[in-house]
Amino acid sequence: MRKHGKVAALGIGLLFLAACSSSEGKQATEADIANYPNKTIEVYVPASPGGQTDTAARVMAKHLPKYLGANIVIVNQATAGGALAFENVRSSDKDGYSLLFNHQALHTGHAVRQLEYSTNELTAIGTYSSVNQVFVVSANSPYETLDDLVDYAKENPNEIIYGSQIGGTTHFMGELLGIESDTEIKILDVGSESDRMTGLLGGQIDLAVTGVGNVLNYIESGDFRALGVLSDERDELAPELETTVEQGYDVQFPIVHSLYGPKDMPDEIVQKWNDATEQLAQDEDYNEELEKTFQQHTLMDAEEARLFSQEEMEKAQLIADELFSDIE
Amino acid sequence: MDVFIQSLSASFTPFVILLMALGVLIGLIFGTVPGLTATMGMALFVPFTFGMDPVPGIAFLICLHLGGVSGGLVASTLLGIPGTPSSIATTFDAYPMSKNGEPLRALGIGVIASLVGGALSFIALVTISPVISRLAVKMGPFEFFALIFFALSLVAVLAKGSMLKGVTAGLLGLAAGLVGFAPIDGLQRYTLGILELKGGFELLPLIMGLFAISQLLIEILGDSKSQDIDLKAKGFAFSLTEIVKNWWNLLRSSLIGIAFGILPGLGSGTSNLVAYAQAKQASKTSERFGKGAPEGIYASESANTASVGGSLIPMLSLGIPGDTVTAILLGGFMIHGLQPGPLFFTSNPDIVYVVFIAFFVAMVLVFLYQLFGMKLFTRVLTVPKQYLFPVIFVLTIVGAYTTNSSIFDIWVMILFGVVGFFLVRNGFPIAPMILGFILGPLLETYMRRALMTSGNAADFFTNPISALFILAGIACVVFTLRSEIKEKRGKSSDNTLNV
Repeated sequence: MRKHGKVAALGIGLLFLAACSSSEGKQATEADIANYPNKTIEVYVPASPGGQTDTAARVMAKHLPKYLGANIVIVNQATAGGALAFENVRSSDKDGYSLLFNHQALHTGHAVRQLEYSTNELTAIGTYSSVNQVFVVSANSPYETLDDLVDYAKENPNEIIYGSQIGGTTHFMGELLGIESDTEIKILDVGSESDRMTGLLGGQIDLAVTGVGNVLNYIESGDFRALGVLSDERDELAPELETTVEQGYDVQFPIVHSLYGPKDMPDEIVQKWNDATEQLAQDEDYNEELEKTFQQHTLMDAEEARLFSQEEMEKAQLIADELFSDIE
Repeated sequence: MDVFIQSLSASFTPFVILLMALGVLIGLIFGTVPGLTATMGMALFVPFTFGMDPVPGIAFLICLHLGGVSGGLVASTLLGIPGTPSSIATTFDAYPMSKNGEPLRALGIGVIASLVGGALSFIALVTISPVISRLAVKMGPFEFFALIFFALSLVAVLAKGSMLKGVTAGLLGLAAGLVGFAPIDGLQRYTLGILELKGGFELLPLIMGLFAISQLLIEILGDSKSQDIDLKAKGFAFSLTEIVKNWWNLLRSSLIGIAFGILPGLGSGTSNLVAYAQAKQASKTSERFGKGAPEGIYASESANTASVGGSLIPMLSLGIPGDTVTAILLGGFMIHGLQPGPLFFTSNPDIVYVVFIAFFVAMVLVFLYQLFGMKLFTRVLTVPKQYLFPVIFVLTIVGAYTTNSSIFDIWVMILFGVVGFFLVRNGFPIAPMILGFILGPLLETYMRRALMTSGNAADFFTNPISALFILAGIACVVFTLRSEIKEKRGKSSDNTLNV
């Protein structure tokens, strides 16, 4: 029996050892930079296989190697709200072989203190695609436009029930609508995109947000009504849907898939990615596959992506401040 | 009808038939090998279908899905290791039966139960898909809370025979489920500042630890006596009268499987445990459960296969995936330019028929593969332990790692291996622990969501469906406890008389 105790103690000890590391990785050498890329590149995706983020990453990873000259593998690490994937890339060597592919969940996660570090601890490399989000209500709801809904919410604070994933991007989208329209909307945790669809179909919630691709079928079938795409421009794939900005509410929140590397990654390596991505943008197969999966092509280079990331970070922080002030 | 015949002819070209046979085989391998799961198989092979036309691609994926869930039977029966979460409960009786020298009988029962569960869920899928998924979405957080509360009360049933130890194991499972971000508010609990623990323990490393690693430890330390194994069973090793005798068990378990498949977040990983507990509850000879009772195998295997058909129902008719495997499958559909959803049955009837046909073919293929493979599979029992165990050990490590590409999960698996070893050694049942671990976080999530909705706890009881399930749960605990106490009393008074 005593022997087993020792085995258990050893196991637990090792568990702690395995978990302890928080330093930064090595800087790339001149030779590393000159030869880049000469081995397989790992792109960490903090999401399960099959979802929107994973699909976006896989479409990129399938077509970009032609122009970059190295294979890309996707590493799915959905655990710990994306913190593990973030940390693995943040602390990796700065040689461009471990990169992070995600969207604004990086900013909202940090703003609600689930992610320890902000994207300032990473190097923004560029963006690839985006998915427009749209506010939807049930087709038998009394609200025909966003104005109808806002008018009702103004007179009846906390009566409109908005289903989202608390702490996630969808939660922030609802908060943003509340802030921009100066109304109190009741935010409930419902779960992932499919759970929100269920909640809306089942009448447990009044309002939800979802990707444009997902919602077109429901609109056509007469289940849902779209109240506004969260963008300043109409979606290319669904040009008939009005935007929030058109209706006078500055609620913009397209989900943009961006690529990051560890902090202080050499400019030369980043440049190689930007050049390859620019060629990729002209690739017909790539564009066709993006369209099939209801993503819009969104190309930003490192500098633009850095600025975009900065803006989104500030936006998320602003909304989070509002949110926490409500609680306190 | 024309569309159906078109789909039929599109599905029965030599190429598609070959792909379906291949899909089932790959699925079976992923389901059988400990540590590999249907989810992983699906994630790996969805990209493989990108280059194909929709019909062969979709048919292949459906076959892989069913094969993956069905494959768990073999490893559960012969090694006592659930190859995939959907066959956890199969190990409880199939493995003891196999150890008692009847591996072929255990496999045979599993194979036929899978076929029955598959056939019933096929009927549900084809006939009432759109209606039933419209009903399922009416379930709100109150109803879900109550349903999960009821399922969790089955811990008492699973613990029957050694109530104190069983309930302790259930609480251990609940405790393990608390680790990580709390649902909804994301508060960190018991993470000890370890980054990898923020997400909590993953299900797969936990199962692999509790079953595979602990099993290896026990065998290595030589606790189990090897038995003479009867590999010369007559016919297909199961009798028709026994199946007829289990008709209610099979029907109930399949319905549980279908229902849990339809409801989001539950699926085949939970349905097999619940169906097993229900079978034990209903049985007049519940003390034989865990020692090789055929009813247990009938329940578990019919429920997990039925869940596959169940999970396809909301995916096809609403575009809502019930579990991770169907979520990946949905991604696969989208790559082919197909968007399952409310219009799918009218806009793509041809593909819907292909799904039906593929499901049916997969069901038959799984049956045939397993029936004719049975004698071959049992050969694994004749492999000397010194060759078999290292292979299993390596496979479980690979399986634990691939969940998140994280070394940490391997340590988690080993930790739970040691925990499982001590539990089994001291007579604690593992089943309540797994049930507690899976259902605990779900229970909390739905309770919090329900309270967010109304802020009034009384609503749990004023909502009729919710009240019904909560009462059923309480009744289940009370009756199980009462009969347990009665039995214990009966025994002790017998003893005093004898003395």
